[in-house]
Amino acid sequence: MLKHTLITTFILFILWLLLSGHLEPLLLSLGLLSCLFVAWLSHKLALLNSDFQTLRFNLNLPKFLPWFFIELVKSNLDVSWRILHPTLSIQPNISTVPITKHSEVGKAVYANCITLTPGTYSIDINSAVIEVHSLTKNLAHDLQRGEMSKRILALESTSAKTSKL
Amino acid sequence: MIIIGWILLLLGSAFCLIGTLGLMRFPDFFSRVHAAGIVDSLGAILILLGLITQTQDVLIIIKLLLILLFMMLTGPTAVHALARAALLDAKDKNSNNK
Amino acid sequence: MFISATIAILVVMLILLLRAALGPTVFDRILAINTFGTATVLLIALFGFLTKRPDFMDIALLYALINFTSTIAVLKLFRYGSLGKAEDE
Repeated sequence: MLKHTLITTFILFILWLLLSGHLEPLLLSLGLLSCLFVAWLSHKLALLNSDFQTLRFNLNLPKFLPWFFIELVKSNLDVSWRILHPTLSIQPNISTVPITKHSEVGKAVYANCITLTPGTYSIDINSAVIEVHSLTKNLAHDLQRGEMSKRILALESTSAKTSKL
Repeated sequence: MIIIGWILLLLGSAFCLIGTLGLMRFPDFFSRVHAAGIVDSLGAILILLGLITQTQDVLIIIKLLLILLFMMLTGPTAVHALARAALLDAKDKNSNNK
Repeated sequence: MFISATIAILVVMLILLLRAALGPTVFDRILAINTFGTATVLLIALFGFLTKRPDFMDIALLYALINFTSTIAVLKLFRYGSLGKAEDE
């Protein structure tokens, strides 16, 4: 509990330094005071209870981000093309994607990644499946092939070389 | 660097315009969410990256990257909440009609 | 260069307001206003570069966070408001 409060204070102070850029002793101490106040407040409000989950990602993150960015650009171009096309060739449909193998954080990351790529977004989620609304049938099939799911599983697998983010 | 910034800013603006065009053209709410997604994802990314190439101040670059990070984290969550609320509302109306 | 992007964002915001005014369902309006908030963040950042005042980045950062909160708040209000009425009837 105390550890979480200290970590929160530390992260908040780093953020304060990055946002303000001030290095005078008076302002630094005032900033530290406000960070301590916020950490104490969130401790009081029991925001830092057992739900406090540290994000752990392993070294696959630098491999995942470029792949995800390319996917993002591809789906953006696809949806843009469909918007500009005079006939509007869309077949909206709802399909499901299994998420039983993912951890809690993995599920959230997966649903966010699905929503972030235009053409598909997660419309409902329970412990077993994500319901996905997709603009075309092809996009739904692409998602069900499980490429993204596999890559996020590789991202969240806690091996010996994990590093905190 | 200035030319890269030009290209990124213009591409970002173009994607924003296409996204809003889709918002006007698509026939129903659940499709319009996809069009709004273009503005939220690639439009915002390209414009913010374009702005990052235009400054040498490290603090401003960090702030722009933080804006990008917050947008990428909160945007999908808001869209998901919106879509889920719309779905629940549609289900409510269906059960009321029966 | 910044002026052309700023004008493009202003046009985007105009169309979004049109969608928010037209929007048949309340969710169309909330979607348009959510995207309007994204466009506002981009506009504030662009305007900071246009007038060479880097302080605007802080406002843009704050607005990005407020935008999310306001969307969730409006959705929650709408959801529980309608649920309360449904129970009374």
